[in-house]
Amino acid sequence: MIGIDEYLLLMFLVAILAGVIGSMVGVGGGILVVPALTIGFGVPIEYAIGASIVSTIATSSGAASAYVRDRITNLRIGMFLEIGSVLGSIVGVTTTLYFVRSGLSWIIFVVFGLVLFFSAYNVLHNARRERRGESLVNAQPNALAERLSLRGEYEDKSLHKTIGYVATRIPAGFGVIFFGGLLSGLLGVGGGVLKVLGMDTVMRLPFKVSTTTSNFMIGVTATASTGILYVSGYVNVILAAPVALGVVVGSLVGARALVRSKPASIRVLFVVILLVFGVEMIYMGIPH
Amino acid sequence: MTTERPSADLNDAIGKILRYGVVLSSVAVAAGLALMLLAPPPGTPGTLQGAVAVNFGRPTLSPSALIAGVAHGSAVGVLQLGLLLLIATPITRVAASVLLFFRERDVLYVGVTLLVLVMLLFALFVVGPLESAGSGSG
Repeated sequence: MIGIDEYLLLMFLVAILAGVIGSMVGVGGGILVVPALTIGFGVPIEYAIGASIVSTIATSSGAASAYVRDRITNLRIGMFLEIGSVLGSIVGVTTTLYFVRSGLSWIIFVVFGLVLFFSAYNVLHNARRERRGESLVNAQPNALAERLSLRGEYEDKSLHKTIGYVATRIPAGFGVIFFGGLLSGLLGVGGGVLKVLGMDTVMRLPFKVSTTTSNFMIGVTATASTGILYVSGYVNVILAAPVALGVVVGSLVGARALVRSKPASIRVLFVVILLVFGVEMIYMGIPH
Repeated sequence: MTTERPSADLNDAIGKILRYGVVLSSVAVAAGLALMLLAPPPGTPGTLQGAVAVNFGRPTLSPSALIAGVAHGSAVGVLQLGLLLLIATPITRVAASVLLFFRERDVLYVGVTLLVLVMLLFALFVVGPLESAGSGSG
């Protein structure tokens, strides 16, 4: 049995930690919140998802306000792709509520575990991706991109030059973004990993534009599923409050601590946590 | 200047909405947490499991009940206000984008942002109540 006071203080600290690590590694700390609540505190997964999804609005909006000022985020690309991610998010959260009410919560646990594994792989992959630079950025004209204004340029401060880019393979990218929104609604996470994949790998946008634009979209995407969970009673304010405040404080601390460099040790720690949580979530999901 | 870049207006307005939204909601959530620790509302269950079992901390959907809660300095009411401010932040950002694209005469993106806004309101006011009804007692 855990007292309410103990929960509020302990979860606040855990959320700060998740925010710090998440912002230092460049993946939102939101992915750690649901496992911490279910494995750590025994909270039913639907309430854990409700608490977690609220916090992703906070981290996304906080970080986006800075990136938008820096003119790296592509507002039009973000707003266009939000059509797909918001749609996916509504489908995702509806599916989760169906699983919960049909006694199929184990599916959510197993999918969550697999997403944790994929995120661990992705954290390591992104480390290589950043070193490789922006060699795959598309700058060729694209008719659909022209019609939808899905292009732009940004000032790369470390390379001291302006990089122009044009989106390509737009329908495929839109599909991946829809799926990212679906995972966000299904699991109560930001789903940034898939959003970045859709923009960077599929649509060939610069990595920095992809990560900041993905972050920009996460708040709106999460708002759709949060609204549904809020109205249907799964956002318990006592559960959600320490998480929302904690990740905001944590991501501020993390962003101050490191603006550019991302030490390998933090990355390794994050990967280990993701793998342990992944095993634990799948174990909790498998009926036994 | 160039058409590729959204005007400075749009970036700054959106940056400001997001920043103020997060700051305001964080202040309310911090105040609510302090109240919860120092002056928990009457009837607060002693344990986390107890609170989850009866969903103590479930937000009220009645605006008058929310206003009354905040006015009385109820921890749950103040926390709810904080989370509502957070949910309102991206919605305000999208609504402001509709207006700003309208001012730029960018018809396509007025449509895009309007569609996103409609989907958000659809989730909140149509899908939410439907899911709530489907959950029986909730």
